[in-house]
Amino acid sequence: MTPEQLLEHLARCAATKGYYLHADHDHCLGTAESLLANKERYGYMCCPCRLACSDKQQDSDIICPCIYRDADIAEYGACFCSFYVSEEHKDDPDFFPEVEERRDPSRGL
Amino acid sequence: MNSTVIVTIVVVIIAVVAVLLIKKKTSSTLDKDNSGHEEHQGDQELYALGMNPVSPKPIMYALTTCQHCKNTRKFLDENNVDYIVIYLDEYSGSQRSDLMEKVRTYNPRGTFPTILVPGGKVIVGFRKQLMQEALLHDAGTTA
Repeated sequence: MTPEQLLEHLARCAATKGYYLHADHDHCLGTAESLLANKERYGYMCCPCRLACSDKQQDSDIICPCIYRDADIAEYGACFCSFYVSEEHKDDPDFFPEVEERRDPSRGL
Repeated sequence: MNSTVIVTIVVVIIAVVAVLLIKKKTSSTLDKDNSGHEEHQGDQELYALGMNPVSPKPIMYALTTCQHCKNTRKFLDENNVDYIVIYLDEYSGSQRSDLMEKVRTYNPRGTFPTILVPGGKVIVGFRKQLMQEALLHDAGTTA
């Protein structure tokens, strides 16, 4: 699968939840490349903005889309990586809010 | 007669040197085998620095996959800031968890990038304004 194909697939999945991919295409393409790199490295597409521990069970909360996405988009308008955004920000390529990490630091490494 | 003795001595010396070299090579191979896993463990010098971050340059703890880290690097590069980057995802096993623990001493949430500025300031995330204040106005941190 190419990064472009992955983007198309993820955009379709996000649309079912009313979310969009970020308007900065290069940012999204880089994120898709990183997701594929993580798939190759760990065997699953874990969040490229977080350090995985290589244990799928322990990393299950940060497999993209992570379980924190809904709350992050509701509060900040974007997910932790600013990959998924709300409808309100779907056309803004400069929208990069400072999203606080919700993950419990005791999880993972 | 004399020349025979000299040749014998030379042959013995060569043999001894050869045996010593072979022993040394075998020993270093064994050391490597005993060092454990064949996993990629990143740059050992950077690992040591990451665990004991005393540096005149800013040190950035980052992930190779993180867009915020890439944007931060781009910003620092464009502004000619001389810095050191340590990619935690290039390490595995105990080295990865050691480095993560170290990052948490500066940034309890353990997020990336985490930048240690000489003097003790810590910048978390892609924060242009904070980097400008901490890195671009300080003499000695720019190339």
